[in-house]
Amino acid sequence: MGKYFLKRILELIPKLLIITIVIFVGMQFIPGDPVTYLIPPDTISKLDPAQLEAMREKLGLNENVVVRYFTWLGNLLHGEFGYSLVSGASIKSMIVQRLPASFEVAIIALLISAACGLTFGFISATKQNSLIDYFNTILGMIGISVPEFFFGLLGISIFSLKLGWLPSGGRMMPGKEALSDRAEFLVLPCLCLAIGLIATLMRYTRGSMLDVLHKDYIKTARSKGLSEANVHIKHGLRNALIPIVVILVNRLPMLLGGAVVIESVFNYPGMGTMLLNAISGSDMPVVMITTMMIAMAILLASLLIDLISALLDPRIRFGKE
Amino acid sequence: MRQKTHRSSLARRNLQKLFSNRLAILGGVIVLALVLLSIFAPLLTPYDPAFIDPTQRLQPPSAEHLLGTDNAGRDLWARILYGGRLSITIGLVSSLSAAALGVIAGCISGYFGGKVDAVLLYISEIFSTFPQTILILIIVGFAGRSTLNMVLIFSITGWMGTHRIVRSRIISLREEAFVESCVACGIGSSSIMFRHLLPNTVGPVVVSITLSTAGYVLSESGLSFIGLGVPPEVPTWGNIINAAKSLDIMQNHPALWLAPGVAIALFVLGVNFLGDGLRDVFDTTQ
Repeated sequence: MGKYFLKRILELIPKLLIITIVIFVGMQFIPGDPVTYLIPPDTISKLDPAQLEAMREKLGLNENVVVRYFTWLGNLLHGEFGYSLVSGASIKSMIVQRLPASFEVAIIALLISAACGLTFGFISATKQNSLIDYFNTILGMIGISVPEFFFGLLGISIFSLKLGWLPSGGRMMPGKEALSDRAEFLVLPCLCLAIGLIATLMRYTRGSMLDVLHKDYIKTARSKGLSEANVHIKHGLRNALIPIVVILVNRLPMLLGGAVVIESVFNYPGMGTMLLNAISGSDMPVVMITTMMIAMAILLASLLIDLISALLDPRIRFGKE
Repeated sequence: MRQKTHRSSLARRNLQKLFSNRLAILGGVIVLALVLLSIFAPLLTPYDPAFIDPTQRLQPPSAEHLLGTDNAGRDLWARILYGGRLSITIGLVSSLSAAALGVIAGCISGYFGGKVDAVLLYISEIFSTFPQTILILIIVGFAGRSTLNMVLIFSITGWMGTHRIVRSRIISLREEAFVESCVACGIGSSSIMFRHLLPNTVGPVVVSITLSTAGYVLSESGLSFIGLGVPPEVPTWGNIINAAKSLDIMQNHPALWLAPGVAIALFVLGVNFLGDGLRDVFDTTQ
């Protein structure tokens, strides 16, 4: 077990390095002098050309590509991500400010969708071909077919514009920062984000449960005289969980990267809108650093998937050794 | 001869299976209808989707303008018909080229195995860590918006699914006797891969092409909606909604975003129903 985990974690290192190399190469295509995003803009404005040259020397910008890459990597490890070309703010502070907002929406949406998706899928599978299963199947199909921003627009036009129950966008009213004051801002983005995921999870839960329920060990469990609920939950759901967990963990990077489209619909100040603004303002250092973080989050999520699957299914753990 | 009759009966059985699936039929009809509507767009509307008529801004639906006009005075019905052409083409071309890449990589991976396979698997894993949306965002940041860029990105980042399907299928087929007899007859590797092994993977590949077409139409609409998809002057369904983002239009002229939204949802729903039906047909385990 420990050996398996260690192997997985070691495999991660070259992949992380490849990501940083890709991002570094991308950074080289940013037009202009790298010095502009490596030190704060108000520092630059105070420097005369000679001092600027000295600064370049000190930052290692006159060295060859390989040395530059390792200097840059070292800075990253120290949390020095550079500065925005547009606002001049440090990228780290921008991320620190935006991350909690995205995190909030994503975690709520993930929890809602996990709860609803699992429940609906479970009911559908245990009552296969019933009216409720048919209803769920159609709803699930609609859930994965309608674009999430369309749900967003519908939500805004009904609940904000027509009924006036919920705000149409933003994160909070000025001065009112408590979670209870912000809750009304979270309802629509979280629900819109959750709908598609509920549908996906429901479909997978149903499929996976049906697969498992036709296995021999379910027959064995029934023939032992276990109650139907016991068979479904302890023997069925537990074994059906792996593919479902995989999908759920796959969405975890959203916590970091934000949901670009939904954040944009609701004008929500998270990582997604930060990325969008950076792109429309050609603020490439911000774009590259954010992308890198998201890619790394995806790698970590895939590691997590392997570890959880191994915990849930001993065959994976011992299969390849 | 005997093999031929066997084949046609299998095809007939598959078709029967597909036609007995009501949802798949419904999906097929929806998709066909939307495709025909966009192909015959010039016959169905006299308007040019790009023609700007400042005197006709934000007209309500009428006999003259079936769905009304947008804030630039363009006929909405015409824009949706012509928009379908682009949205559907982008989705289909992207999924076809992604599948082509995946099939080639999958054949090579599965047939040669070993180191070649390991390298291709590694590459596909690296590709899956950069999410499509983010890659498109970067390319748009560097190169600007273009329809071709979008299709290219979709194909370059979308081949991994097909790769996996074809690879695992070919690995299991590789040991069959007919491959051995091919090798014994001196048939070359590429011919064995693409002529003898590949046809056996058609089913799952067709299913994945269908479903990913739906996925790409959705992604395109989302990206265009946030203003990062195809250039704004190209009337795709997503771009039409993007033009209707202001609160005023949302409240007072709902047709402008409802109509293209329904078009996207209907098309994707239809393709998904069809894809699910096809999967049932090709799924031999049932």
